[in-house]
Amino acid sequence: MKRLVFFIACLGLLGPAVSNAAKMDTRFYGYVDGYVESVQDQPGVDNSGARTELENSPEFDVPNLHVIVRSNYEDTTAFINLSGGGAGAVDVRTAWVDKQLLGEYLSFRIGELYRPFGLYNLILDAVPTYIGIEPPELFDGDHFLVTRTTNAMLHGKVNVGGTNFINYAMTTGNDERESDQLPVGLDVNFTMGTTLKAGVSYYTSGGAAVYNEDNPGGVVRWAEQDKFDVMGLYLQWTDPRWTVQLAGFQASHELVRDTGSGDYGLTTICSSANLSANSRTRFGCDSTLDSEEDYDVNTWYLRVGYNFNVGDMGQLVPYFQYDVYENEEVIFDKDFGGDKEAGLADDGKFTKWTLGTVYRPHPAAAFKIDYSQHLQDVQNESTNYGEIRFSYSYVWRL
Amino acid sequence: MNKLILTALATITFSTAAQASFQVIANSEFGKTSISKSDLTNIFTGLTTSWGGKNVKVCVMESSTGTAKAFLGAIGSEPGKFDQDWIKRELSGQGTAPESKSTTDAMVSCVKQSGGIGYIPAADAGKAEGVSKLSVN
Repeated sequence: MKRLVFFIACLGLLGPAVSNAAKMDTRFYGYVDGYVESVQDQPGVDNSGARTELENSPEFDVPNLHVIVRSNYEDTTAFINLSGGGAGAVDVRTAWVDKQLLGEYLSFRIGELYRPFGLYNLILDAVPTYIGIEPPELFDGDHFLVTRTTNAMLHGKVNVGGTNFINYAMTTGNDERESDQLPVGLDVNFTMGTTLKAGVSYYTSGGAAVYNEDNPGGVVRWAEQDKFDVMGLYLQWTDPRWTVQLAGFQASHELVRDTGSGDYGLTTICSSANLSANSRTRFGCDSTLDSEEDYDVNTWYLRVGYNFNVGDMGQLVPYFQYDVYENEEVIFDKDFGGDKEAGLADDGKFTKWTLGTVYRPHPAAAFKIDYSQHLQDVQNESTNYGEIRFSYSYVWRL
Repeated sequence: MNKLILTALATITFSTAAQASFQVIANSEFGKTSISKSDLTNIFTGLTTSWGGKNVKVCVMESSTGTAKAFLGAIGSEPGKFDQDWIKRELSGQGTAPESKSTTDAMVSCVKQSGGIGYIPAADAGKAEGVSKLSVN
């Protein structure tokens, strides 16, 4: 709340501080979105670690309202994204000031900002514009590979001929660092007009990192500390009708688990969380608690969509997605930082294909419906279960 | 954005409206008489925010017009994609969407602002007073 008051105060000060208001371009816009989802016949794990079937009733996400203010004054930009969450709380999603240092070659941004990392992190608030309802597993709230936001960025672009550009960004911030570590994120991509984008992203925790409740990333809740890096490649091809996206990421962790009896220590988790047999073995629940683990998280996805114009009705965009996620360290019980998808699998791996469609009556509104089928091994048995979702979003501007 | 939405509503159709030719215009401060097609594409798709060392202010005609369709076609886009791309840029903090105008006079006024660049129907080129008319190379 203090941050919110601070940023609103900054916004209020921005206008009067500039003498030549005619050169200032301030715009207010935002969006509302929400979704309904129903998971069918999802297996689970009971208190004894035995397989059971979860009773999932359709889940309505309370509509989220986002208000965005963007103000430009010559080569300086301020941007604030306020999010009204489902419980009535208002949070500062992002708030930053950006100043060009060397034209488009180099700019500096500071505040709370989304990090450029792959294809999706920057555009996840532009809900109507992308195919799919859920973000790629890389930025799934149950198992982020890296924090979505950070605090400072040097970024820029250089034209390498015609409509071809190389874009680059280097970020750092509080992220999940334990104390004075220097986490660094890098993102470099090549764009060919609006048709092709190919890039690489890298992140290092810069030393010891710990779970950050305010800004969760790659560190698990039961970590005493973790040192990790993330590397990924991504490719997007679009023409006015087709969109094809392919991306893969790997996170490598050197984890030291908290074996204590605190809320998220292994002693508590072993006794209170619904752990699978494999997780119990991995953690040493039934022998000696295992404090150190080096492990990798892998994920990749393919997304393909085609945009049909349907006359006065708007646009219809059928799409197909294929997602793979693999993380052996994950657990099932969400009360202890788990994940009901990967945490259910014996090996922490699931694949998911999705068929869906976006209907846009106009570019600022979208209604999306899709169906996903999960495939994973649960207690040595290959298991499928489905999930159907409906979402809506509307972008407005004053 | 309201104009953008209204424009998009009117244009995502199978309309067979006659395609008009266009005249690119820019603020005289640039001191230019021509622009390359790649620069034109970069500026209007938001790939770059400067031209000739100056920051640009992009002005577009409402995309229901034949002139807008002709122009977007020339830069390899179309109304739906163009609007989608700019919504994406605005909400991700990567750019400020162009001002959308409905008349030639409004376009000329927009381009007279510092860094202004836009286009008008070729038939109205005579109305482009006080701005530079650019040929596209």
